[in-house]
Amino acid sequence: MRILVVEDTPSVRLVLARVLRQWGHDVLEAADGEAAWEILRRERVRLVVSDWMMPALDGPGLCRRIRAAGFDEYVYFILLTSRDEEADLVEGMNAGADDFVTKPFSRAELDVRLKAGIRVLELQQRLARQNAELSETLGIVRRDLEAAARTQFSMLPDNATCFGPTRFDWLYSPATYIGGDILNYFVVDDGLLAFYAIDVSGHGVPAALVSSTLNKFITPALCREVLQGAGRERDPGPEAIVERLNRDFLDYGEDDFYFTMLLALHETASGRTRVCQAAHPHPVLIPRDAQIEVLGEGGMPVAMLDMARYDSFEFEMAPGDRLILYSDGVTECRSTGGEQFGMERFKSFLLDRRALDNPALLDALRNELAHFSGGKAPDDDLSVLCVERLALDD
Amino acid sequence: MQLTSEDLRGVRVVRIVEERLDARIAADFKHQMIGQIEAGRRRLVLDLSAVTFIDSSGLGAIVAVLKHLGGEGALAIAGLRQNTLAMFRLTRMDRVFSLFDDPGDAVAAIAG
Repeated sequence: MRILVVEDTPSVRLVLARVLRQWGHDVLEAADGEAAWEILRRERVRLVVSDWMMPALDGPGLCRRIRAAGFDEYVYFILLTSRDEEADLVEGMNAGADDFVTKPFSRAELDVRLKAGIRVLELQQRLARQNAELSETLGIVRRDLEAAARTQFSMLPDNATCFGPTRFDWLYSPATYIGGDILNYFVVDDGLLAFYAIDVSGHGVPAALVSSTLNKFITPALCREVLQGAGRERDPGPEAIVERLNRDFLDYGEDDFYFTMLLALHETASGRTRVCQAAHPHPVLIPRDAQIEVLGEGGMPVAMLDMARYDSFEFEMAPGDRLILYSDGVTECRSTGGEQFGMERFKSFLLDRRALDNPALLDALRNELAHFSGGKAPDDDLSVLCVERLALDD
Repeated sequence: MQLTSEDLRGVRVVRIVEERLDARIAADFKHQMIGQIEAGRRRLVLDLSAVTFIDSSGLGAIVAVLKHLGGEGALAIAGLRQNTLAMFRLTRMDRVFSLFDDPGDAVAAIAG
């Protein structure tokens, strides 16, 4: 161990240095606090044995200066004291000293105090090393998650997109880097669109793996295959697709895995919209000139139970009507006091802001929820899909 | 996570003494309930009267317990409140579980 001995009495300094060298340490010497400080600024020293009373800068003063400098490595500081008074100990401790050796020193006492100090330094070094490893690992995980988040965002459809007279806008905000919510819209056939919103139970990486898989699984081809293959049923709807998902994902994941979804088929010419609600929050219809309506009567989650059966409801979207799909991250958003944003507050928010266009409405909702939660990190993923049948005069 | 258990007429009544059955305690809850089933308690009433909020992880855990019974035994739910009942209705779990206001009624319904 490299040790700095600070002592203004040359005879005492010599004896101290000799003893420490005999014990195998690498010893530097200084005649007062200022000289010691010069050495400490240049050299790597882990342990200081310093006299109390010295000209220029005394022991406690040197110690305070070391603590204030905040070196990368901890410097263990032993003060030599001729008196064994409580007031001295308190002053020394306040200056940041780690231990004391009374003068004239005994070799045995110096030995045990040094060993205690070296144990502390070794422990500190081990912790610093582990800490550095953890920081490095955390950095890798964080960079991976950031990359994964970019990949997940790239899976989302283009925002503010029109298919004929139908316009889609979305808001997506995972609780951590990546989330278990996913949404999409696409053309199934001439004049027929599909759109969906999904919330995989749980959140973070496990949920995100599933939501990404679902995003790739639910394609126009799958929808066509199910709708055409349902043959014996006349006019099969989105419930047939959800039933297929329920079968295909039933044994996926652990026993408490499932997801909720809203899946809709929308005919662009007539505005006829059929929605299968599989435990996802009730969609909200904002008609152009009428009261806001909360739609649906619920339905079982997907991939939870093999006995699950699904149904759908239908309505016509008139020009100027908007349909809002959202995950429970909206209604279950909590204030710092623990209160939930809730359905009633959400409805009155939509009522107050119905004059806003879709991007502005989604922005306002994001701000409203951030404000409501008092800026604390969200508990859950948040996703909102806004579907509008454009009015002819737009 | 806090559960209290008592036996009534051969039925184990488990009460969750928590306000929120959510992601924070869902895994622990599931683990403890499965422990009871493994110990031979296959007729269970889950008393949720203290619970004001169940999130998706909480619901997943309750269903996982039901799946663990594998049709041998019974799991009834008692004491749902406005908010938690709405969640059971939204997810149609009211058609999967027998629901009771009072744990005593639930015990009477599933006692052997």
